[in-house]
Amino acid sequence: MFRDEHADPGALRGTTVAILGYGLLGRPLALNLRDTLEARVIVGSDDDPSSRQARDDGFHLTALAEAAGEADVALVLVPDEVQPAVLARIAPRLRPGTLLVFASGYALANGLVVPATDLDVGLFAPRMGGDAIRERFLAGRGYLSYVGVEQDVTGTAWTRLLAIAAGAGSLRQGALEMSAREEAVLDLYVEQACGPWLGAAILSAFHVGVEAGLSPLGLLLEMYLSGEMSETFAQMARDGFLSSSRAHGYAAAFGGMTRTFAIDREGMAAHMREVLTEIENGGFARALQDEFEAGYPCRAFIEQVIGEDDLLSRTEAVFRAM
Amino acid sequence: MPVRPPAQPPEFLMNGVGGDEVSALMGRVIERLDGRLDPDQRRQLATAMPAILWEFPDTGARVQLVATPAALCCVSAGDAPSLVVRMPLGTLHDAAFGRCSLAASFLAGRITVRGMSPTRLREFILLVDPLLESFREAAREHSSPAAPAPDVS
Repeated sequence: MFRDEHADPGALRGTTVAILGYGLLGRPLALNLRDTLEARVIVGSDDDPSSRQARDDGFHLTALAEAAGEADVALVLVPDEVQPAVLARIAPRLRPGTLLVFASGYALANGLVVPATDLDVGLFAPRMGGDAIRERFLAGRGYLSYVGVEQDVTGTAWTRLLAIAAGAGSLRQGALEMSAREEAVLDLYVEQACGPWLGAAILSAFHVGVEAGLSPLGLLLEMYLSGEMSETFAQMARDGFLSSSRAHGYAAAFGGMTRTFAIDREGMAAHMREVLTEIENGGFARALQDEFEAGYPCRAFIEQVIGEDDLLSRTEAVFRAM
Repeated sequence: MPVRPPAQPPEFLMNGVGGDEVSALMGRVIERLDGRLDPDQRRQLATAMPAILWEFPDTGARVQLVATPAALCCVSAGDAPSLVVRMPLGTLHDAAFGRCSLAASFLAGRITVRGMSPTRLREFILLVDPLLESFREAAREHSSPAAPAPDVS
Protein backbone atom coordinates (compact mmCIF):
# COMPACT_ATOMS: atom_id res chain seq x y z
CA MET A 1 0.00 0.00 0.00
CA PHE A 2 1.42 3.39 -1.00
CA ARG A 3 1.00 6.15 1.56
CA ASP A 4 2.09 9.79 1.86
CA GLU A 5 5.56 8.83 3.03
CA HIS A 6 6.21 7.05 -0.30
CA ALA A 7 5.50 10.17 -2.37
CA ASP A 8 7.57 13.24 -3.13
CA PRO A 9 5.10 16.10 -3.67
CA GLY A 10 8.03 18.27 -4.78
CA ALA A 11 8.52 16.05 -7.81
CA LEU A 12 6.04 18.20 -9.72
CA ARG A 13 7.41 21.59 -8.60
CA GLY A 14 7.31 24.09 -11.45
CA THR A 15 5.49 21.77 -13.85
CA THR A 16 2.10 22.12 -15.49
CA VAL A 17 -0.63 19.65 -14.53
CA ALA A 18 -3.62 19.64 -16.90
CA ILE A 19 -7.01 18.39 -15.77
CA LEU A 20 -8.77 17.22 -18.93
CA GLY A 21 -12.49 17.25 -18.14
CA TYR A 22 -14.07 19.12 -15.25
CA GLY A 23 -16.90 16.81 -14.23
CA LEU A 24 -17.56 14.41 -11.37
CA LEU A 25 -13.88 13.60 -10.84
CA GLY A 26 -12.20 16.48 -12.61
CA ARG A 27 -13.43 19.22 -10.31
CA PRO A 28 -12.51 17.71 -6.91
CA LEU A 29 -9.14 16.46 -8.17
CA ALA A 30 -8.32 19.83 -9.71
CA LEU A 31 -9.22 21.66 -6.50
CA ASN A 32 -7.21 19.26 -4.33
CA LEU A 33 -4.16 19.36 -6.59
CA ARG A 34 -4.22 23.15 -6.75
CA ASP A 35 -4.29 23.29 -2.96
CA THR A 36 -1.28 21.01 -2.52
CA LEU A 37 1.07 20.97 -5.48
CA GLU A 38 3.69 23.58 -6.21
CA ALA A 39 2.67 23.24 -9.81
CA ARG A 40 0.53 25.16 -12.26
CA VAL A 41 -2.83 23.37 -12.41
CA ILE A 42 -4.86 24.18 -15.52
CA VAL A 43 -8.16 22.84 -16.82
CA GLY A 44 -9.00 21.71 -20.34
CA SER A 45 -12.65 21.37 -21.13
CA ASP A 46 -14.85 21.79 -24.20
CA ASP A 47 -18.03 21.25 -22.25
CA ASP A 48 -19.85 24.53 -21.56
CA PRO A 49 -21.44 23.92 -18.14
CA SER A 50 -18.27 22.44 -16.68
CA SER A 51 -16.14 25.14 -18.34
CA ARG A 52 -18.20 27.77 -16.59
CA GLN A 53 -17.71 25.94 -13.30
CA ALA A 54 -13.94 25.77 -13.83
CA ARG A 55 -13.81 29.49 -14.58
CA ASP A 56 -15.91 30.23 -11.49
CA ASP A 57 -13.46 28.15 -9.46
CA GLY A 58 -10.66 30.40 -10.71
CA PHE A 59 -8.84 28.01 -13.03
CA HIS A 60 -6.97 28.92 -16.19
CA LEU A 61 -9.24 27.28 -18.75
CA THR A 62 -8.45 26.26 -22.32
CA ALA A 63 -9.75 23.80 -24.91
CA LEU A 64 -8.88 20.17 -24.19
CA ALA A 65 -6.18 19.84 -26.86
CA GLU A 66 -4.56 23.12 -25.90
CA ALA A 67 -4.36 22.13 -22.23
CA ALA A 68 -2.91 18.77 -23.20
CA GLY A 69 -0.23 20.55 -25.22
CA GLU A 70 0.88 22.58 -22.21
CA ALA A 71 0.94 19.63 -19.81
CA ASP A 72 3.83 17.85 -18.15
CA VAL A 73 1.20 15.70 -16.50
CA ALA A 74 -2.26 15.33 -18.09
CA LEU A 75 -5.10 13.69 -16.18
CA VAL A 76 -7.74 12.21 -18.51
CA LEU A 77 -11.00 12.71 -16.62
CA VAL A 78 -13.63 12.53 -19.34
CA PRO A 79 -16.21 9.69 -19.36
CA ASP A 80 -14.91 6.24 -20.30
CA GLU A 81 -16.68 5.94 -23.63
CA VAL A 82 -15.58 9.43 -24.72
CA GLN A 83 -11.87 8.82 -24.07
CA PRO A 84 -10.97 7.30 -27.47
CA ALA A 85 -12.35 10.35 -29.30
CA VAL A 86 -10.67 12.77 -26.88
CA LEU A 87 -7.35 10.96 -27.05
CA ALA A 88 -7.43 11.06 -30.86
CA ARG A 89 -7.81 14.84 -30.65
CA ILE A 90 -5.18 15.54 -28.01
CA ALA A 91 -2.56 13.00 -29.08
CA PRO A 92 -0.87 15.25 -31.65
CA ARG A 93 -0.49 17.98 -29.01
CA LEU A 94 1.08 15.87 -26.24
CA ARG A 95 4.81 16.45 -25.81
CA PRO A 96 7.25 13.53 -25.45
CA GLY A 97 7.71 12.57 -21.81
CA THR A 98 4.31 13.84 -20.72
CA LEU A 99 2.75 11.62 -18.07
CA LEU A 100 -0.76 10.71 -19.20
CA VAL A 101 -2.83 9.65 -16.18
CA PHE A 102 -6.14 7.79 -16.49
CA ALA A 103 -8.63 7.61 -13.64
CA SER A 104 -10.17 4.48 -15.13
CA GLY A 105 -8.48 1.59 -16.88
CA TYR A 106 -11.40 1.05 -19.29
CA ALA A 107 -10.01 2.58 -22.48
CA LEU A 108 -6.48 1.23 -22.01
CA ALA A 109 -7.66 -2.25 -21.01
CA ASN A 110 -9.93 -2.59 -24.01
CA GLY A 111 -7.36 -1.31 -26.48
CA LEU A 112 -9.53 1.71 -27.27
CA VAL A 113 -6.62 4.06 -26.78
CA VAL A 114 -3.00 3.27 -27.53
CA PRO A 115 -0.81 6.09 -26.21
CA ALA A 116 2.31 7.01 -28.18
CA THR A 117 5.43 5.20 -27.13
CA ASP A 118 7.21 8.42 -26.12
CA LEU A 119 4.71 9.11 -23.31
CA ASP A 120 4.59 7.91 -19.72
CA VAL A 121 1.23 6.34 -18.92
CA GLY A 122 -0.23 5.80 -15.46
CA LEU A 123 -3.41 4.93 -13.63
CA PHE A 124 -4.72 6.84 -10.63
CA ALA A 125 -8.21 5.52 -9.93
CA PRO A 126 -9.89 6.87 -6.77
CA ARG A 127 -12.33 4.45 -5.12
CA MET A 128 -14.54 7.29 -4.00
CA GLY A 129 -17.23 9.49 -5.51
CA GLY A 130 -16.37 12.99 -6.67
CA ASP A 131 -17.87 15.09 -3.87
CA ALA A 132 -16.47 12.79 -1.21
CA ILE A 133 -12.96 13.25 -2.65
CA ARG A 134 -13.10 16.96 -1.92
CA GLU A 135 -14.94 16.60 1.41
CA ARG A 136 -12.45 14.06 2.74
CA PHE A 137 -9.54 16.18 1.55
CA LEU A 138 -10.88 19.26 3.35
CA ALA A 139 -11.48 17.19 6.49
CA GLY A 140 -7.87 16.00 6.42
CA ARG A 141 -8.86 12.44 5.61
CA GLY A 142 -7.74 10.34 2.67
CA TYR A 143 -9.46 7.86 0.40
CA LEU A 144 -8.36 4.64 -1.23
CA SER A 145 -7.24 4.48 -4.83
CA TYR A 146 -5.49 2.21 -7.31
CA VAL A 147 -2.25 3.31 -8.92
CA GLY A 148 -0.21 1.72 -11.66
CA VAL A 149 2.30 2.54 -14.33
CA GLU A 150 1.57 1.17 -17.78
CA GLN A 151 4.44 2.86 -19.62
CA ASP A 152 7.58 4.53 -18.23
CA VAL A 153 9.85 6.03 -20.87
CA THR A 154 11.28 8.81 -18.71
CA GLY A 155 12.03 6.70 -15.64
CA THR A 156 10.01 9.19 -13.57
CA ALA A 157 6.51 7.83 -14.09
CA TRP A 158 6.13 6.31 -10.62
CA THR A 159 7.54 9.38 -8.85
CA ARG A 160 5.22 11.72 -10.71
CA LEU A 161 2.21 9.42 -10.38
CA LEU A 162 2.60 9.09 -6.61
CA ALA A 163 3.02 12.86 -6.35
CA ILE A 164 -0.36 13.20 -8.08
CA ALA A 165 -1.98 10.59 -5.82
CA ALA A 166 -0.56 12.32 -2.72
CA GLY A 167 -1.49 15.78 -3.94
CA ALA A 168 -5.02 14.64 -4.68
CA GLY A 169 -5.32 13.53 -1.06
CA SER A 170 -5.55 9.79 -1.58
CA LEU A 171 -2.32 8.66 0.06
CA ARG A 172 -3.43 9.84 3.50
CA GLN A 173 -5.40 6.59 3.43
CA GLY A 174 -3.50 4.66 0.77
CA ALA A 175 -3.21 3.41 -2.79
CA LEU A 176 -2.92 -0.15 -3.97
CA GLU A 177 -0.89 -1.04 -7.06
CA MET A 178 -3.05 -2.29 -9.91
CA SER A 179 -2.91 -2.57 -13.68
CA ALA A 180 -5.37 -0.77 -15.92
CA ARG A 181 -6.76 -4.13 -17.03
CA GLU A 182 -7.42 -5.33 -13.47
CA GLU A 183 -9.00 -2.02 -12.48
CA ALA A 184 -11.30 -1.97 -15.49
CA VAL A 185 -12.52 -5.53 -14.99
CA LEU A 186 -13.00 -5.11 -11.23
CA ASP A 187 -14.85 -1.83 -11.55
CA LEU A 188 -17.23 -3.00 -14.28
CA TYR A 189 -17.72 -6.42 -12.72
CA VAL A 190 -18.81 -5.10 -9.33
CA GLU A 191 -21.04 -2.45 -10.95
CA GLN A 192 -22.71 -5.00 -13.19
CA ALA A 193 -22.69 -8.18 -11.11
CA CYS A 194 -23.29 -6.94 -7.58
CA GLY A 195 -25.08 -3.64 -8.26
CA PRO A 196 -28.10 -5.06 -10.10
CA TRP A 197 -28.76 -7.68 -7.40
CA LEU A 198 -28.63 -5.03 -4.68
CA GLY A 199 -30.89 -2.74 -6.69
CA ALA A 200 -33.33 -5.52 -7.55
CA ALA A 201 -33.43 -6.66 -3.91
CA ILE A 202 -34.41 -3.18 -2.75
CA LEU A 203 -37.02 -2.73 -5.50
CA SER A 204 -38.55 -6.17 -4.94
CA ALA A 205 -38.61 -5.85 -1.15
CA PHE A 206 -40.33 -2.50 -1.53
CA HIS A 207 -43.02 -3.65 -3.96
CA VAL A 208 -43.72 -6.95 -2.22
CA GLY A 209 -44.00 -5.13 1.12
CA VAL A 210 -46.33 -2.50 -0.28
CA GLU A 211 -48.53 -5.17 -1.87
CA ALA A 212 -48.78 -6.80 1.56
CA GLY A 213 -49.90 -3.54 3.14
CA LEU A 214 -46.63 -2.41 4.77
CA SER A 215 -45.92 1.30 4.96
CA PRO A 216 -44.01 2.51 1.87
CA LEU A 217 -42.15 5.07 3.93
CA GLY A 218 -41.39 2.53 6.63
CA LEU A 219 -39.96 0.16 4.02
CA LEU A 220 -37.65 2.80 2.56
CA LEU A 221 -36.56 3.96 6.02
CA GLU A 222 -35.62 0.38 6.90
CA MET A 223 -33.71 -0.10 3.66
CA TYR A 224 -31.82 3.14 3.17
CA LEU A 225 -33.54 6.39 4.08
CA SER A 226 -32.59 6.21 7.76
CA GLY A 227 -28.91 5.78 6.92
CA GLU A 228 -28.76 2.56 8.96
CA MET A 229 -27.88 0.55 5.84
CA SER A 230 -25.03 2.87 4.86
CA GLU A 231 -23.79 2.66 8.45
CA THR A 232 -23.92 -1.13 8.10
CA PHE A 233 -21.72 -0.93 5.00
CA ALA A 234 -19.31 1.35 6.87
CA GLN A 235 -19.30 -1.20 9.67
CA MET A 236 -18.50 -4.01 7.21
CA ALA A 237 -15.47 -2.04 6.03
CA ARG A 238 -14.40 -1.33 9.60
CA ASP A 239 -15.14 -4.60 11.43
CA GLY A 240 -15.45 -7.15 8.66
CA PHE A 241 -18.30 -8.31 6.43
CA LEU A 242 -19.33 -11.29 8.59
CA SER A 243 -18.35 -9.91 11.99
CA SER A 244 -20.44 -6.81 11.47
CA SER A 245 -23.60 -8.93 11.63
CA ARG A 246 -23.00 -9.29 15.39
CA ALA A 247 -23.78 -5.60 15.74
CA HIS A 248 -27.39 -6.17 14.72
CA GLY A 249 -28.40 -8.66 17.41
CA TYR A 250 -29.10 -12.37 17.31
CA ALA A 251 -32.53 -12.03 15.69
CA ALA A 252 -30.95 -10.38 12.65
CA ALA A 253 -28.24 -13.02 12.30
CA PHE A 254 -30.69 -15.90 12.89
CA GLY A 255 -33.22 -14.60 10.38
CA GLY A 256 -30.77 -13.28 7.83
CA MET A 257 -28.59 -16.36 7.69
CA THR A 258 -31.45 -18.84 7.45
CA ARG A 259 -33.03 -16.84 4.63
CA THR A 260 -29.71 -16.67 2.77
CA PHE A 261 -29.65 -20.49 2.57
CA ALA A 262 -32.86 -20.39 0.54
CA ILE A 263 -31.54 -18.04 -2.12
CA ASP A 264 -30.59 -19.58 -5.46
CA ARG A 265 -26.90 -18.76 -5.25
CA GLU A 266 -26.12 -21.06 -8.15
CA GLY A 267 -28.38 -19.05 -10.44
CA MET A 268 -26.93 -15.84 -9.09
CA ALA A 269 -23.38 -17.09 -9.68
CA ALA A 270 -24.23 -18.21 -13.22
CA HIS A 271 -25.52 -14.73 -14.01
CA MET A 272 -22.40 -13.15 -12.53
CA ARG A 273 -20.15 -15.42 -14.60
CA GLU A 274 -21.94 -14.34 -17.77
CA VAL A 275 -21.45 -10.70 -16.80
CA LEU A 276 -17.76 -11.25 -16.10
CA THR A 277 -17.23 -13.08 -19.39
CA GLU A 278 -18.80 -10.25 -21.37
CA ILE A 279 -16.59 -7.71 -19.60
CA GLU A 280 -13.40 -9.75 -20.01
CA ASN A 281 -13.95 -10.56 -23.67
CA GLY A 282 -14.59 -6.92 -24.55
CA GLY A 283 -18.29 -7.40 -25.34
CA PHE A 284 -19.39 -4.77 -22.86
CA ALA A 285 -16.86 -2.24 -24.15
CA ARG A 286 -18.02 -2.79 -27.73
CA ALA A 287 -21.63 -2.25 -26.68
CA LEU A 288 -20.78 0.94 -24.78
CA GLN A 289 -18.72 2.32 -27.67
CA ASP A 290 -21.55 1.50 -30.12
CA GLU A 291 -23.95 3.29 -27.80
CA PHE A 292 -21.69 6.37 -27.73
CA GLU A 293 -21.04 6.38 -31.46
CA ALA A 294 -24.77 6.04 -32.23
CA GLY A 295 -25.57 9.09 -30.07
CA TYR A 296 -26.70 7.24 -26.92
CA PRO A 297 -29.94 5.67 -28.25
CA CYS A 298 -30.57 3.86 -24.94
CA ARG A 299 -30.19 6.98 -22.81
CA ALA A 300 -33.83 8.06 -23.10
CA PHE A 301 -34.99 4.68 -21.82
CA ILE A 302 -32.50 4.72 -18.94
CA GLU A 303 -33.46 8.28 -18.04
CA GLN A 304 -37.12 7.33 -18.15
CA VAL A 305 -36.59 4.50 -15.69
CA ILE A 306 -34.49 6.71 -13.42
CA GLY A 307 -37.02 9.56 -13.60
CA GLU A 308 -40.11 7.37 -13.32
CA ASP A 309 -42.67 8.91 -10.99
CA ASP A 310 -43.46 5.65 -9.24
CA LEU A 311 -44.42 5.01 -5.64
CA LEU A 312 -40.83 4.61 -4.50
CA SER A 313 -39.76 8.04 -5.80
CA ARG A 314 -42.94 9.67 -4.53
CA THR A 315 -42.37 8.17 -1.08
CA GLU A 316 -38.82 9.54 -1.02
CA ALA A 317 -40.20 12.98 -1.94
CA VAL A 318 -42.67 12.81 0.93
CA PHE A 319 -39.83 11.98 3.32
CA ARG A 320 -37.64 14.83 2.06
CA ALA A 321 -40.51 17.27 2.53
CA MET A 322 -40.98 16.27 6.19
CA MET B 1 -41.16 4.01 -23.76
CA PRO B 2 -43.52 6.98 -23.54
CA VAL B 3 -46.83 6.55 -21.74
CA ARG B 4 -49.61 6.18 -24.31
CA PRO B 5 -52.67 8.38 -24.26
CA PRO B 6 -55.52 6.67 -22.42
CA ALA B 7 -57.68 4.54 -24.66
CA GLN B 8 -60.58 2.20 -24.13
CA PRO B 9 -59.11 -1.28 -23.73
CA PRO B 10 -60.72 -4.13 -25.64
CA GLU B 11 -63.29 -5.99 -23.58
CA PHE B 12 -61.87 -9.46 -24.01
CA LEU B 13 -58.63 -8.50 -22.31
CA MET B 14 -60.52 -7.04 -19.39
CA ASN B 15 -62.38 -10.28 -18.84
CA GLY B 16 -59.50 -12.72 -19.04
CA VAL B 17 -58.31 -14.65 -22.05
CA GLY B 18 -56.94 -18.13 -22.71
CA GLY B 19 -53.50 -19.16 -23.88
CA ASP B 20 -54.59 -20.07 -27.43
CA GLU B 21 -56.32 -16.78 -27.89
CA VAL B 22 -53.22 -14.93 -26.69
CA SER B 23 -51.03 -16.90 -29.09
CA ALA B 24 -53.33 -15.96 -31.98
CA LEU B 25 -53.33 -12.34 -30.88
CA MET B 26 -49.55 -12.25 -30.61
CA GLY B 27 -49.30 -13.75 -34.08
CA ARG B 28 -51.16 -10.72 -35.41
CA VAL B 29 -49.04 -8.40 -33.24
CA ILE B 30 -45.90 -9.82 -34.79
CA GLU B 31 -47.32 -9.53 -38.34
CA ARG B 32 -48.00 -5.86 -37.72
CA LEU B 33 -44.62 -5.38 -36.05
CA ASP B 34 -42.96 -6.85 -39.14
CA GLY B 35 -44.65 -4.17 -41.23
CA ARG B 36 -43.34 -1.44 -38.95
CA LEU B 37 -39.66 -2.35 -39.02
CA ASP B 38 -37.47 -1.16 -41.85
CA PRO B 39 -34.94 -3.57 -43.40
CA ASP B 40 -32.11 -2.17 -41.25
CA GLN B 41 -34.04 -2.66 -38.02
CA ARG B 42 -35.03 -6.18 -39.06
CA ARG B 43 -31.43 -7.04 -39.83
CA GLN B 44 -30.23 -5.61 -36.50
CA LEU B 45 -32.86 -7.58 -34.65
CA ALA B 46 -32.05 -10.79 -36.52
CA THR B 47 -28.38 -10.37 -35.61
CA ALA B 48 -28.80 -9.40 -31.97
CA MET B 49 -31.85 -11.45 -30.98
CA PRO B 50 -32.95 -13.94 -33.63
CA ALA B 51 -35.47 -15.58 -31.29
CA ILE B 52 -37.40 -13.90 -28.50
CA LEU B 53 -39.69 -16.01 -26.35
CA TRP B 54 -42.60 -14.19 -24.70
CA GLU B 55 -44.07 -15.83 -21.64
CA PHE B 56 -47.37 -14.55 -20.25
CA PRO B 57 -47.69 -16.30 -16.89
CA ASP B 58 -51.22 -14.98 -16.27
CA THR B 59 -52.52 -16.79 -19.35
CA GLY B 60 -50.08 -19.69 -19.73
CA ALA B 61 -49.24 -18.54 -23.28
CA ARG B 62 -45.71 -18.83 -24.67
CA VAL B 63 -45.03 -17.27 -28.04
CA GLN B 64 -41.74 -17.03 -29.88
CA LEU B 65 -40.80 -14.27 -32.27
CA VAL B 66 -38.29 -15.42 -34.85
CA ALA B 67 -36.42 -12.66 -36.65
CA THR B 68 -34.63 -13.10 -39.95
CA PRO B 69 -33.34 -10.32 -42.19
CA ALA B 70 -36.30 -11.03 -44.51
CA ALA B 71 -39.20 -11.17 -42.06
CA LEU B 72 -40.45 -11.66 -38.54
CA CYS B 73 -42.64 -14.59 -37.79
CA CYS B 74 -44.38 -16.10 -34.81
CA VAL B 75 -43.98 -19.72 -33.76
CA SER B 76 -45.10 -21.60 -30.70
CA ALA B 77 -42.28 -21.79 -28.16
CA GLY B 78 -39.11 -23.16 -29.75
CA ASP B 79 -35.58 -24.01 -28.66
CA ALA B 80 -32.81 -21.75 -27.42
CA PRO B 81 -34.31 -18.27 -27.57
CA SER B 82 -31.87 -15.37 -27.40
CA LEU B 83 -34.11 -13.61 -24.88
CA VAL B 84 -37.00 -14.69 -22.69
CA VAL B 85 -39.41 -11.88 -21.87
CA ARG B 86 -41.69 -12.78 -18.98
CA MET B 87 -44.55 -10.43 -18.18
CA PRO B 88 -48.26 -10.68 -17.46
CA LEU B 89 -50.41 -10.03 -20.52
CA GLY B 90 -52.12 -7.38 -18.44
CA THR B 91 -48.84 -5.48 -18.15
CA LEU B 92 -48.34 -5.42 -21.91
CA HIS B 93 -51.95 -4.45 -22.35
CA ASP B 94 -51.74 -1.63 -19.78
CA ALA B 95 -48.58 -0.25 -21.37
CA ALA B 96 -50.10 -0.38 -24.87
CA PHE B 97 -53.27 1.39 -23.72
CA GLY B 98 -51.50 4.03 -21.63
CA ARG B 99 -52.52 2.76 -18.21
CA CYS B 100 -48.93 2.50 -16.96
CA SER B 101 -45.45 2.71 -18.41
CA LEU B 102 -43.23 -0.26 -19.02
CA ALA B 103 -40.61 1.53 -16.93
CA ALA B 104 -42.91 1.44 -13.90
CA SER B 105 -43.69 -2.24 -14.52
CA PHE B 106 -39.98 -2.98 -14.77
CA LEU B 107 -39.31 -1.21 -11.46
CA ALA B 108 -42.16 -3.13 -9.85
CA GLY B 109 -40.64 -6.42 -10.99
CA ARG B 110 -43.45 -7.32 -13.37
CA ILE B 111 -41.10 -7.66 -16.37
CA THR B 112 -38.01 -9.80 -16.55
CA VAL B 113 -35.87 -10.27 -19.64
CA ARG B 114 -33.63 -13.30 -19.30
CA GLY B 115 -30.59 -13.06 -21.56
CA MET B 116 -30.66 -9.25 -21.63
CA SER B 117 -27.21 -7.70 -21.77
CA PRO B 118 -25.69 -4.36 -22.76
CA THR B 119 -25.02 -5.86 -26.20
CA ARG B 120 -28.76 -6.26 -26.82
CA LEU B 121 -30.42 -3.34 -25.06
CA ARG B 122 -30.42 -1.06 -28.08
CA GLU B 123 -32.21 -3.49 -30.40
CA PHE B 124 -34.66 -4.37 -27.65
CA ILE B 125 -35.55 -0.72 -27.00
CA LEU B 126 -36.02 -0.12 -30.73
CA LEU B 127 -38.66 -2.84 -30.65
CA VAL B 128 -40.71 -1.45 -27.78
CA ASP B 129 -42.70 1.38 -29.36
CA PRO B 130 -43.56 -0.51 -32.58
CA LEU B 131 -44.54 -3.52 -30.46
CA LEU B 132 -46.90 -1.48 -28.28
CA GLU B 133 -48.49 0.12 -31.33
CA SER B 134 -48.86 -3.26 -32.99
CA PHE B 135 -50.38 -4.74 -29.85
CA ARG B 136 -52.86 -1.93 -29.54
CA GLU B 137 -54.04 -2.35 -33.11
CA ALA B 138 -54.18 -6.12 -32.96
CA ALA B 139 -56.10 -6.06 -29.68
CA ARG B 140 -58.68 -3.66 -31.10
CA GLU B 141 -58.98 -5.74 -34.24
CA HIS B 142 -59.35 -8.90 -32.18
CA SER B 143 -62.15 -7.42 -30.12
CA SER B 144 -63.97 -5.99 -33.18
CA PRO B 145 -63.08 -8.30 -36.09
CA ALA B 146 -65.72 -6.70 -38.31
CA ALA B 147 -64.13 -3.29 -38.02
CA PRO B 148 -60.37 -3.65 -37.98
CA ALA B 149 -58.29 -0.71 -36.89
CA PRO B 150 -56.90 1.29 -39.77
CA ASP B 151 -53.41 0.33 -40.88
CA VAL B 152 -51.13 3.14 -39.83
CA SER B 153 -47.89 1.49 -40.85
